Amino acid sequence: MAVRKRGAGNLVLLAVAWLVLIFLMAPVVAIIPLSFNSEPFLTYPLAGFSLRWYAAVFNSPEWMNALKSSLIVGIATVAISTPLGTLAAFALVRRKMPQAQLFMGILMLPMAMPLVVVALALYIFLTRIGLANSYTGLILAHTVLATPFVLVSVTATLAGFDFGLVRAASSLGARPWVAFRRVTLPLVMPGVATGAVFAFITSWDEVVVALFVAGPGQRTLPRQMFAGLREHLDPSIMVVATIMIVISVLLVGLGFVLRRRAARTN
Amino acid sequence: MLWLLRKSDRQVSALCGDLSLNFMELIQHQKGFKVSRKLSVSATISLSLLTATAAVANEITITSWGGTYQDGQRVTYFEPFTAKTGTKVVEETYSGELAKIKAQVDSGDVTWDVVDVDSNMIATGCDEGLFETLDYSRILDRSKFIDGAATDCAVGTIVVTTVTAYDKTVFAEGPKTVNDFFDLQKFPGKRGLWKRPYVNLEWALIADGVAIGDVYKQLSTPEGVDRAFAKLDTIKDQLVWWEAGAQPAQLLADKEVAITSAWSGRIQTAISKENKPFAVVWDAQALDFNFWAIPRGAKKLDDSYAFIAFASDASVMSKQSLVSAYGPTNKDALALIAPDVVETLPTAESHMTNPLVYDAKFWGQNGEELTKRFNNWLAK
Amino acid sequence: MATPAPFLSARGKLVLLALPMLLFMLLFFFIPVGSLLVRAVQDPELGAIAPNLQRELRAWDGQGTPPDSVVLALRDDLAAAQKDRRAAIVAKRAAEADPKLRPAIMDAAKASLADPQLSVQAVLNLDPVWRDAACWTRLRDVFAPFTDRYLLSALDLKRDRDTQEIVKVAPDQAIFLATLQRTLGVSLAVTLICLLLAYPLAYVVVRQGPVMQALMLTFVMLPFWTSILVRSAAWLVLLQTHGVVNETLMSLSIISEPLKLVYSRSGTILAMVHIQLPFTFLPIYSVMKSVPDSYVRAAQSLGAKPFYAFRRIYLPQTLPGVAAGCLLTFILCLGYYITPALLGGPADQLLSYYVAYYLNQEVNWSMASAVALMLLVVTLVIYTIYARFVPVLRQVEG
Repeated sequence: MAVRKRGAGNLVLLAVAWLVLIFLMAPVVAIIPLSFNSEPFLTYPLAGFSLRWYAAVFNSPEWMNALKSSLIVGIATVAISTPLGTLAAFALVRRKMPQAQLFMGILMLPMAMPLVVVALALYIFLTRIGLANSYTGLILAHTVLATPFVLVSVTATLAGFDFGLVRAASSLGARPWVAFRRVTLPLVMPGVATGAVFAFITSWDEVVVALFVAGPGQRTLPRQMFAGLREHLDPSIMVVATIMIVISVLLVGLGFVLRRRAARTN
Repeated sequence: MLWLLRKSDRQVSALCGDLSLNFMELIQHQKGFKVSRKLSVSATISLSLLTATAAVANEITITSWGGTYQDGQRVTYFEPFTAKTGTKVVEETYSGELAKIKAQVDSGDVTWDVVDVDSNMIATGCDEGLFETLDYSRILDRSKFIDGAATDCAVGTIVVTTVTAYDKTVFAEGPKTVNDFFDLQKFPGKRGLWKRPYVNLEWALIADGVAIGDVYKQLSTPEGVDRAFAKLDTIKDQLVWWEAGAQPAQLLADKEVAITSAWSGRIQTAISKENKPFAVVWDAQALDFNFWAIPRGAKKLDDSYAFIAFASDASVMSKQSLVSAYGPTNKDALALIAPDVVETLPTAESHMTNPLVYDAKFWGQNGEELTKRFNNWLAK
Repeated sequence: MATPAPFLSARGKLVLLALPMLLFMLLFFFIPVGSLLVRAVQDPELGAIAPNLQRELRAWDGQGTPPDSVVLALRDDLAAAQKDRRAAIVAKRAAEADPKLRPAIMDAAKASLADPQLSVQAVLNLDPVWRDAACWTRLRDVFAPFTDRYLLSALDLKRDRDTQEIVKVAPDQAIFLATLQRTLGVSLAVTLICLLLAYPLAYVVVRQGPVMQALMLTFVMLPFWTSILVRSAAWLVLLQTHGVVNETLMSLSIISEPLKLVYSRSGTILAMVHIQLPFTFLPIYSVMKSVPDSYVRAAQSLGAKPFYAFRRIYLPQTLPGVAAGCLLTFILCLGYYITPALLGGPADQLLSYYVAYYLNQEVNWSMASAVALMLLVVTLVIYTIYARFVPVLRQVEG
């Protein structure tokens, strides 16, 4: 690898990279001890060690329901927005596509629109078609927000894609689906995966639209977190954040181990 | 060659998409589990359908501000109301989005039956026709409420006040009046204020010598507004602006400020439940209310009125003060509260020597202009 | 793709691929949002509340005193509106044209409701406003089907009440252009910082072994799983005057006075960079993934200096990722609201704040729409300029 060959310059780069990573992780790390604070204040040094906020979260049906709602909406959003955005990206990125630049700009507009406007507009619209206060409505709303992310990520990856490979596979006798699955998909997967992650995060951390569009039955985690903020910052949000961090670290670890094993058996 | 391409990039892509894909993987891995889940889902659905048909006749949706505040309301109002009348309460939370109420009213499909609103929302919302005009014969006689609590389209539920609070460990002899808040010589240190013009302009005028009763008359004139901003200018470089109501107590706890404006309930909780060395200055406390209101076109008016009447009852209301340090709006309720609790409430007699009665109507009419000017002033 | 006997042209097939997303966005974004933003030039409410008055006012030519039919329509519609508590909406909108109209309309509404048979003369006698022809003309303008009032207001402009000329609003009321400028400035700064941090990070990450790469990616992604609210709180804990960072630096005697890291512009930018960094990083990273190192190595082996090889070979190949990441970040920054509010200083309100303010607090949806529209137009303009210089969409053959 190129990195090992070049000396000092790469050490500097490596140091910069780690500094950026530390910057990214700092608030995440800072949260974890606070979730064990015995006082409801987010202040160091900790007043004492306590599991009271953990007890509060695990004993609270609201938090558990919120977790469930968030997962349902997030996964459904990914499931709809990823194919929508990926298909559109495959079209927009081709020279033959008419007005691609214009469509791209138009399809990115939802990202620039202040969320409150989208939230209110969708609420009015969904009320009219009878989908306000439902999972379907919230999933549709989050899909609107999430799909542009998929589009951007996949088009970026496809910019370096050689469609000649697909033609080559086809001319070698591969059927379209096989060619897509074995040639195209693996190559654009980083972009699709990035888009899917963005889509999930968009839904996962979205509060404004959820505030309008969701009813009592679909209260998501961010909504649960923001409720009561007017008055009291509930340390339970630190607990939920810590749990999420632990879960995602475990999932990454698990996924990694599984893949290594799969690679070895191959 | 194709195979090679595929393999290396698979690994790569999987890494990048790890976090999202893992969820999907996990779900896929549990195919065996699916069947039983389907069963249980259908069971839940049929069960909930059964209960739904039984309960739909009397069930009302009440929307409030969430958090500990709504936890208190649940114990004080919602559960006892259900116990008494059999009407189930479906709870909603919001953060004061008047737009959501307007959208419901405009569409004619109103899903909220009762909403907890603040006075600025009433001042605007009443004018915009967002709330039902209340029939007090179905609630409680207007005279039973303290001044300002019984309005045409909303009934006060609690007295909330904006006070100043300070850290006792910072000042041996703490500030006593709102003038002291503006006195940097006597009480050096940072000050916290809400990043809105409300109450700040009033206090500035009071500290500048305007009689408390003349504040809004002064603020209605361009000279009065200039005067308020000039007074705020004198402490501007010492100000820290807070955004959410949870912040003032946190700012004091972090020693980020020495004195701050705050909503009294939160500070009282910090003092009594969390043993923080804070003290409240009640001078010129800005008296204000939270209200129950019915969005115009709400479908279950009888139940909505029944709830508001129940919640306005003196004995029911007196219990609210046990869970959070807000004053009751029903005049008879104060007598039912233990004296040591009364001392923590804004409406205790000893705190009511010099209150500023917050004029939401004034802000409803002048809020836009003053907000623009305030933000311009902030940015300077 | 090689389908035998194509019944669609290649172009047609591409359009078909894009169609699901286009239709979806049309139905669930452009139609709902569009019908809200129309309010920037058209207020549907007044016509709904006072339909007769609107019709009669439009029928009148606006010259001299209005005919009796206008006055009677005013009386009847205001009485009906007052019954619904909606007369105040008319009064409020009218006050934007002339503040004197607000009390006059409220009084007229109350009087008409009390006595539905009020004579024309009696209505005119209610308030001097009604005997002033200029006020009626202004009321007529309020009921105009389209108005530029809100759009002008979003540009800190207004029409002079008497001459109808477009003039600047009073300096203490001019807020939107300065806020727009600030929004653009902050977004640009955040985007540049994100790029400066994300590019070398991606460059390093992409060159690590699988284990290290997984670890680093986890570090990038973990903040994503933490709510923005939680992260804002965490930044406060770390960065406030007596926060972890200041206390540490002070105890190490690196600084003697605490640094002002939050409740300031730097706090806003820092927190926004933190939120946006993964959005800049991931597109760059996923593009770098698909760029083989061999070109650069080839260039170097042919004698190119490392930096030259990087600039001429590697950078252009990774540019689509940079373009996508930066655009994503910049555009997302334009819509920020919560973070600047919690961590920023007094002068850090961004444009979205006012959209939310007008939508939720003033419930003046027309004004909110006008401000949002301004933001939208600016975004499109910037996108167009950007797309000229940077390959936002690098198209390929195939």
